[in-house]
Amino acid sequence: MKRVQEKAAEAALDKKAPMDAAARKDAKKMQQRRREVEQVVFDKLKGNIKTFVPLFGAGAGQPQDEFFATVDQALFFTNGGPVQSWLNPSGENLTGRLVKAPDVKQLADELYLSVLARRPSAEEAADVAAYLSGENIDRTTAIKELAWAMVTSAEFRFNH
Amino acid sequence: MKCDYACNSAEHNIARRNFLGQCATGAGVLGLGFLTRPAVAEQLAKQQKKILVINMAGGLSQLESWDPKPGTDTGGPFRAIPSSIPGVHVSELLPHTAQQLHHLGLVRSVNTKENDHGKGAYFMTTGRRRTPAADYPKLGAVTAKALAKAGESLPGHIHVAAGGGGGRSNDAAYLGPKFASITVGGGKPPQYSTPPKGLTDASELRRQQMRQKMNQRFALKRRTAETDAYVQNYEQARNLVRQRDVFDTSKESAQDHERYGKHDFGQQCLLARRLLEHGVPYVQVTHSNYDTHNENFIFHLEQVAEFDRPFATLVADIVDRGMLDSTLIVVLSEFGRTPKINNRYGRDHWGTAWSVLVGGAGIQRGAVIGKTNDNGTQVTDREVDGGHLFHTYLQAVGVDPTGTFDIGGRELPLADPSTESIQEILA
Repeated sequence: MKRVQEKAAEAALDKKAPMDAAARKDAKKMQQRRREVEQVVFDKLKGNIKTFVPLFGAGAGQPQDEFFATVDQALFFTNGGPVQSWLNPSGENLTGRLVKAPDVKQLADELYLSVLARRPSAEEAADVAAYLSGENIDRTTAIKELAWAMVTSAEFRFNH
Repeated sequence: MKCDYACNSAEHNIARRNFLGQCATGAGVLGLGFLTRPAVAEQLAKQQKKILVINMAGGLSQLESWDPKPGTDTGGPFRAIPSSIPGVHVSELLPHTAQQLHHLGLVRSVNTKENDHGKGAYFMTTGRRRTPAADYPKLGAVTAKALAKAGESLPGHIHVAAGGGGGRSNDAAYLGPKFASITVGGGKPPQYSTPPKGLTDASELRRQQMRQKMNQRFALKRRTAETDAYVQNYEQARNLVRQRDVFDTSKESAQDHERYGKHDFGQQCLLARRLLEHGVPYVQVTHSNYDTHNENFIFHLEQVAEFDRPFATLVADIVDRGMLDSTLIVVLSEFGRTPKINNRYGRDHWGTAWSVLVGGAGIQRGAVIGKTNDNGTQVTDREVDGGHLFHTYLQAVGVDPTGTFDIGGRELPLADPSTESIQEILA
């Protein structure tokens, strides 16, 4: 499955410089297009890297392969602007897909498969269902909260 | 080496006898009234011990500060003025601090034999010489761990700097990132400590509870020091968000802003006071930069003057608020500066004979330890180095520097076991 950003970049390039059927059969031209797509995606996501490096990279000149957890990383995930905006349902992103899920069972499956690459246990699926049926909470907000809790969980950090 | 999750009890590192000894001395000085007022004793016992370090980055000249040698070939143009310790003079660049000196003390016989910025700073902040063989935690990390109280929510190791966050150092070494420094500045709370617009308290609470529930489930299957560190950081972050006003100097009165000065260093000292009042065990303010290879005297005239008033104000406030007995105050550098004045009117790196200011907590008030010769080229009495000072700092806040931390089952000494405290300066 192509990633959302990749699809968008491809569509934009196709609009700017359409390729005819002959060009699409030309391996060289297709390879060239794939490179262009990659460049566009990279440029678009560059900003995110800038946000993460000072928080998750070790000091300059220090070994970069050791795990460490600091309070500023947790603060970023708790309150950081980029994380909050990624939680907003939009198109085919995680919460976008979850909002469209036809029932709670499929929503729980999608949530666990997407974030933790496994299906929820019966207990976990029940937790998700209970969360969604909570009082004074609308479905979209509940979905955003669930997605956040999953992404900040120790399992997401350590099993991937 | 990994940080062990079961090792956060610090009680055994607090020198209980030392503390009781201090209480006894206090009772002696204050008379029996002290003992008949248990509430006061209790309050004193409860007061969190803490360390304030002012780091004069680049290398403060001892001759333009704590150990002036006016009228000699090395003395430079500035005069010496009497301080509030009888018979002790400091540079005329420190008129305000001179009046507070009787609360503090001086060590005028530091010889670290180290003329490199990095190595000098390492020796002064870890109490050990830097070697490629091992990395040791900095004073702030050791203090934060040794003085950490169960349930304490604010980070224990805070650096105050002009720019605030950014960059990362491994200053906690094997003590783990929990005790690594966080940097705050500009009178603002740490980055990302303000909840985003549109996130309600109820929503935040719900998602945090869900996160905790998932983590508890995960911990049943897999629990390591690393997963605990990760999970704890979120709790620490929540507490920090709740208490973010602690970092907000705009809560201080206009009068205080005026007294400390509106320049960076003044504001940083004001923030330091706020943090110390809230019981943060280690606060370090950096004043930069004293690396005056050129025009040493003009630079010190400016820099030391900028340091003098806010620092003296901070000391006076610590005394006024009854915090001096619980607060160790240290003014250090990576080294001093050469007595010889070079041909650019500068002074160069000099680890051979220089001074460190240390006072408050368990340090004798008004103690001056060690001497240099007449033109400051050599230590002539009670030579000490970064290791002695490191031991002394810890002992002054009631932590036994000969004690150990249990790190993943290994007993690791808090301070270099081959050296010891400067006993004469301890009360």
